[in-house]
Amino acid sequence: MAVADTAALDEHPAEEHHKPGGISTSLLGMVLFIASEVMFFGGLFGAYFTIRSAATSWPPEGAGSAHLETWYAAILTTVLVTSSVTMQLGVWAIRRNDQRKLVMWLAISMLLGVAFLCGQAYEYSKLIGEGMTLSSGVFGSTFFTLTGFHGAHVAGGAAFILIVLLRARSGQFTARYHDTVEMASYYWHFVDVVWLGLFSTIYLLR
Amino acid sequence: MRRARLIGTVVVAVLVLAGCGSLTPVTEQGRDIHNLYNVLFVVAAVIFVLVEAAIVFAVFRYRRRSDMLPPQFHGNNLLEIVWTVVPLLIVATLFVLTWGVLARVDARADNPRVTVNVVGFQWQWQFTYQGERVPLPADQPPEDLTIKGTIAKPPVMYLPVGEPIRFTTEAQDVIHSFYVREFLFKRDAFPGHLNTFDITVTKPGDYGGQCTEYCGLAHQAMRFTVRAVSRPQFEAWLVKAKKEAASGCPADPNPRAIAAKNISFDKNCLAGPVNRPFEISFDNQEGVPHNVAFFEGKDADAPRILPQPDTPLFPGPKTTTYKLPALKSGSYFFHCDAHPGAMQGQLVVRSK
Amino acid sequence: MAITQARPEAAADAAHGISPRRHPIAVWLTTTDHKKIGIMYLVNSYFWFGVAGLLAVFVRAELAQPGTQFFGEERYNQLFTMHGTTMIFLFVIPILAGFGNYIVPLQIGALDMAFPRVNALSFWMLPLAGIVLYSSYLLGGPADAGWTEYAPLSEGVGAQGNSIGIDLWIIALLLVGTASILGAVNFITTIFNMRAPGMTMFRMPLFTWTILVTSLLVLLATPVFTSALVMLLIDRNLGGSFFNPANGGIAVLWQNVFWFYSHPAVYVMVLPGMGIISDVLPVFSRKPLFGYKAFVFATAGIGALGFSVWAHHMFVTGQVLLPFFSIMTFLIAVPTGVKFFNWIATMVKGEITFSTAMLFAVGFLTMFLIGGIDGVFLASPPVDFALTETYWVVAHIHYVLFGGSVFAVYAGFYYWFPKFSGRKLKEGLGKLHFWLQFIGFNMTFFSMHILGLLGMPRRIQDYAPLKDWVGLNQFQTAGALLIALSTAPFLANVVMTLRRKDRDPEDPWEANTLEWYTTSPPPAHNFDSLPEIHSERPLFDLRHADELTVDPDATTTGAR
Repeated sequence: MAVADTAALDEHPAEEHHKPGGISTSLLGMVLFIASEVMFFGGLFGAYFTIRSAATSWPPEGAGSAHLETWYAAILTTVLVTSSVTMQLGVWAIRRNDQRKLVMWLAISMLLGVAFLCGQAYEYSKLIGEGMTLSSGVFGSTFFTLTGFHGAHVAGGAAFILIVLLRARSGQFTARYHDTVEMASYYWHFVDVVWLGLFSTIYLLR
Repeated sequence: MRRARLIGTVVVAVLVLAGCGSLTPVTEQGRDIHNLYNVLFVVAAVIFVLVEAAIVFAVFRYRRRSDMLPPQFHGNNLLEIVWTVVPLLIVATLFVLTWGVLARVDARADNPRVTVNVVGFQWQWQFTYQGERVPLPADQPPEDLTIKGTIAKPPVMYLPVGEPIRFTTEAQDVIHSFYVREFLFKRDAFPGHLNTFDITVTKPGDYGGQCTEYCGLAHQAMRFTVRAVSRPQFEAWLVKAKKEAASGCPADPNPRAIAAKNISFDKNCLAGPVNRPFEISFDNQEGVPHNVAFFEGKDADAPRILPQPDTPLFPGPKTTTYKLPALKSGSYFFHCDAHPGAMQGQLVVRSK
Repeated sequence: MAITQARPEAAADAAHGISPRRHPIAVWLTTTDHKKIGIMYLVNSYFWFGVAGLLAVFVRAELAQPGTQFFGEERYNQLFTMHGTTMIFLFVIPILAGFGNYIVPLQIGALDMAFPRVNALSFWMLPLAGIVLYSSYLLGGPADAGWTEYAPLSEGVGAQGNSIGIDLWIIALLLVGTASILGAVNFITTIFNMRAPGMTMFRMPLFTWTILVTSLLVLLATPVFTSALVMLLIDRNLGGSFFNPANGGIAVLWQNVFWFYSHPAVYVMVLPGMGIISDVLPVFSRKPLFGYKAFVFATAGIGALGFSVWAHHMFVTGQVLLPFFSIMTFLIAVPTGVKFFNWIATMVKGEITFSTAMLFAVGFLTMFLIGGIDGVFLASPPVDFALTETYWVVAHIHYVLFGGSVFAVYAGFYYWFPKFSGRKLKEGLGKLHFWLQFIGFNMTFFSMHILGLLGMPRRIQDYAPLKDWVGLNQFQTAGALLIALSTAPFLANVVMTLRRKDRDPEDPWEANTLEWYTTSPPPAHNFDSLPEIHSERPLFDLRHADELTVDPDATTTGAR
């Protein structure tokens, strides 16, 4: 009876296990994780839409709702979208085995992410100064929860990019083995798409 | 002949079981629900008996008798189709029946003569008969007849038999649910949302109700009684109830004293004389701190009369006396500052 | 093939931290071996089963008579809240994940899970969550607004006051949810990417299929619960307004977000159990599972439909689209029925032996049949208006979760115990366990249908001393004591069997699936070799290789 030798399963470490015609294990894991994060934001968006549709005016009148500056948020959007573009340029660079360019694009993406966070922090301070907080009513609750969790994800993504950047600088990635860079890019694009959803919903659609 | 007898026995058994543990509904809606339940029960019982018989049969008939490998069937596409389509048709039929009954149960009458606004709060009920004005002196704002319960004295809701009654339900604090078991019906009472439904009671009698949405400590004590009577009896009761409501605190021998126990007052009505100072004595019978705070209007948004807001509440057992100033005739709201939803009432100031 | 490293067994052993000089406790605390992690899941979950079971005995003790005997209102409300929370989140969901952890890599011929360290992290979050949840007893009192913690009651609105218990409840469930989601990522990746050569998707055992579908449900539904928990935490502690109408929030929003997760969660709690039954029945009937593909599609169908029915828990709120949720709920009965007929057809014309595992599997069939059928009543909104929030619902949930999932868990336990330990549990004690539990369970829960029809509401510490209620309550309390008693032969059996020095055969049941190909228990690296895989019953094919001609491209075997 013919037998398969299990050692053949071990030729690559688990992270780089490529099935023919399939997706690598670590990338599949990241895609699934991102799917769960999408559903998390889905719950928050669902709450926002429900509260919004039951409100007679939006933002509701009263002290708890400050005025949101759409042009400012549009700038933040541009920053974040650009960082996604630079991240993708980094991925394409390492696919060509260009380690130097990878490091450069990673650094730019991370800095743009940090710039986004700073911009968001500034907007928060302005709104809080005008009396809008988590506890000032439904508008504040939904706004700060949605954008706050998004910001936390940006911070986490930026930290991830930093780690990838440091590993890239020590030459750990090649055209053949750079799954972690792809993982970081998937996560970063996800964070960007969530922001596009937030921006459209909260600032444009209102 | 034997087979017919067997089938007959099973049918009778099923029908008997269907009656087992059933309440007789006393409303039109309840009757529709009960009939639908019976249909579902028969279908369920038949399916259960058939499937369980198949399981028991398989388990006994095919016990291992030899070491021979039995024929290795893998499946049968025709069977799969049959036992997908047949259940699909059954549930589709049940759904159509459901839809019909739902339309009848949720139907609204055009002009119900009686509307009861039900308000639930921790941990009792208040029923307001919309449009049934209590005869008050001309200087008083009009009010509808309201029956309010306490845990010690749950309210009795009189209803006329044989006509549609419009109910609305809402809550003051958390979610409650209005349930009368012989109505075979319940509907939630929400804070911030009004539910509306119609019920037509078909049989006079006393029916127990209670809250069926878990709402905290004394959830199981949130009981009430529905008393369904004939139309003439209902109208007679209305007259009597309105007169009692107008006269201050009906049937209370001591309307200047109030006590607190189990996070509730023992009454929700106090009375005082018009235009002269008077005293209300308050007996806190438990260790939980309470007070009685009086307001110059119909709810806690009105200006406070006494005590001052920073006066500490006190734990019992202890009695205190509140010295009220001269008040004009009217209704003055009071509550316990610590438990405003559960412990509230009206101080009625009237000239006798 | 090019093998450039030392014997893979040594590498795998080293990777799993096995070396002669390490203390067993250190090994278990730091292991990333899916088999050890699986055992820890089973032990931890069973412990919490005992705790929650004790709480249930207390509940039943109080309910035996009207009036207050042992537990006042506050304590009673805490009891039923903690009973439900512990059973669902610390017992049923994790114990099925535990079976999945041990068995799935073996069933697909893999070395371990795709992410072994994340796997360990997922496990250790569970005892931590249990400690966080129960620390509330020492910190002012546990959560007390039901395992469903409806807002605004759970926000501290109203006269009940507020303790830290609900916040600890939230944190504990955030931990459990994260552990579940990471576990789901692990299971899905493992099943997609790490199957042995020849193990196509349609040759995987049904248990693995149910773990796959369950993991997809967990992946997509649990994060919505996370968002609900987060919003509740914000409302309770940071002045948020999501669910409190006093500040513009919407009370029913909590129920919608909560049930959007919690309904798929009930399929998470039952589908792997059905997978166990689907593996056990063919072995003890000596026939293949009837309608393998139908099972796969029915499982996927239940999983998908499970996302569309959540508001059937909310029919009496007056704020849901009744016909839609009613029809979708009725529809779920159809794939469930398909499974039942296929299970029965698996047994028909078989040669059935009644090991304890098989007893529990057949018991499952009857109990889940009742639980499924009484749920159909609740699918009809008018009937639901009468029966919801009464003991009918308590009957339904216990028939599907206890009669269903717990019976399936025991079936899996008796079936796979020899795989874990190399010894079969004693049949005599097993049968005693089964019958005591079967009788006790039905004593406790069947008459709750009647109590529900008689209008007794749930979640009440005290009830009106109506003649038609008291006798039934007493009877049910006696049944609960019998259930508690029935765990004694089970535990005694486990202890006695583990102390035996001799071993049973490695495949004592003549089973079908890959986990039985290796030793019992398996070595750290799972398999020294793998057979050729041509169907969903590789071991059966191996045993009967000379009788059957095997078509390598067939998905199922058959006599030609």
